[in-house]
Amino acid sequence: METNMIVTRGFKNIIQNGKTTGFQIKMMVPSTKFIFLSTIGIIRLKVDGEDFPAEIIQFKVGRKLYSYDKLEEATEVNLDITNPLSLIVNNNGGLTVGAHDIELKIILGGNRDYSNQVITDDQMTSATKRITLVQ
Amino acid sequence: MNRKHFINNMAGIASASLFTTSAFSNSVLTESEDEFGHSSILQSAPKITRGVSFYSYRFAFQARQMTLEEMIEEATDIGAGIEILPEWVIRDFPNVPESWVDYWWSLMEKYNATPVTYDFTSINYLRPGHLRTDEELVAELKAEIKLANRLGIKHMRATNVLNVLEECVPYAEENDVWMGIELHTPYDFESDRHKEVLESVMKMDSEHYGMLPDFKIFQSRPMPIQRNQQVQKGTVTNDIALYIEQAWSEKMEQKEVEEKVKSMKPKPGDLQYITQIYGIIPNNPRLLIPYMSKIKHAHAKFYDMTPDFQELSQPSEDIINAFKEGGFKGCLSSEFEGQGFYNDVLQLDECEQVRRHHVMLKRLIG
Repeated sequence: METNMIVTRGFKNIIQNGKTTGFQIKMMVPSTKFIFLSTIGIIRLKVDGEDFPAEIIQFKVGRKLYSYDKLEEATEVNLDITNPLSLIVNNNGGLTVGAHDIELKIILGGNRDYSNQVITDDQMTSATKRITLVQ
Repeated sequence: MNRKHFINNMAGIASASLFTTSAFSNSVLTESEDEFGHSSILQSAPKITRGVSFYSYRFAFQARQMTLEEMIEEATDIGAGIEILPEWVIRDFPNVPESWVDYWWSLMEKYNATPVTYDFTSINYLRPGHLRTDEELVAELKAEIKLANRLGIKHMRATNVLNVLEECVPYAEENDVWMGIELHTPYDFESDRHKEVLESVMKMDSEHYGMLPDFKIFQSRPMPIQRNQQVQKGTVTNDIALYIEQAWSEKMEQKEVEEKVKSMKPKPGDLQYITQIYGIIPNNPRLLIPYMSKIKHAHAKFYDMTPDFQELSQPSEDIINAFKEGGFKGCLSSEFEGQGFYNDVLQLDECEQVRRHHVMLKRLIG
């Protein structure tokens, strides 16, 4: 049973037109209250110590993709607490087959505004997990 | 099945069940006399009913072990009315198609269920950097009052700034939806906030505007489950935690307790435990008796029901007696929030916790 913010299932490389263009990680939004896509304020992703900035991540809800700069417009996109949110990370070649250490930090808006503040790691909801990529 | 057909069916069922013992027997003719010789006749007046907020099943729902239909079935199996969090159970919320409303009514008919309360949640920063205006909040609340009306729900848990709520009172009256300002921990009956809430409710003087207490505001004892979880995790020392709880119950000054604990070779969690325990504010439920006519729904929040059907952190009997004495005629809705205190989530059984709570409620409501 999944209890971590980082979800094991769905971890895979993304292949488009025969080319590996990136990888997908799924996450459970760490709130049952602020569950609209626009409330995602800051997100920081590391895989095996390497930073993947939010600007190269697309957020997949259902069948629709949203870029990070468009999140604030998604005020009526319900994240559905029963389905994890897919992070599609642009990364030519994807990740190698095997175990990877994932570190994810996130701040949700909602009742506080973080837009013009310097955010330290301890202010963020964070999770780490080692998960295996098969293909 | 549409709403009109369902309402006609429910009217027939209510007439036929005048003297049933279900949770929704709401026409009762009884006479009782208490120890002071006061008699009361409840004539065609609703009894206190039991409900369950689907927040209580949130781990099962999120893990897809229970669907909306299954939560409705479980609620009706234990004789409870239904309280929903719409953004969870309605996939396309806030854009709710008529087909979903029809689906809702089909479930109400299938299980002979009673929808009781709609949990309204407002988000101040729906977009980072943009504090929502009062106009936006009013529009949002009105839209959800209308949605509650479409779903046949007459009570709403409201959380919002008071002037926004006050502006929506006429619309709530038009749509026959009662809005209750949730009194939620941390909450102090001595605080300015409580004075403001009372002033707002009394000033508006509406049958559709009042207060919705969450029972955690009446917490009067530490929670053993909270202590045990931290002890098992190794962050808190059991003997030190018990000392802190004893000191709190004896009303020792917090600073004095901190100094004493520092001499006991504490873990960092032991000092944090002092803050947790001294943060408990045991509000007296009897202080709500004069305002009970303004309370039509309450969140019977609980954290851990023992196998012999007790909640050890609250004076449950005193709370419900205060509600009864005040003439409460509404729904006490179980709201289980102990999930976070389980180190091993596989040991968690939300349905069993709610069922134990309802056995206690049945006993105390009478």
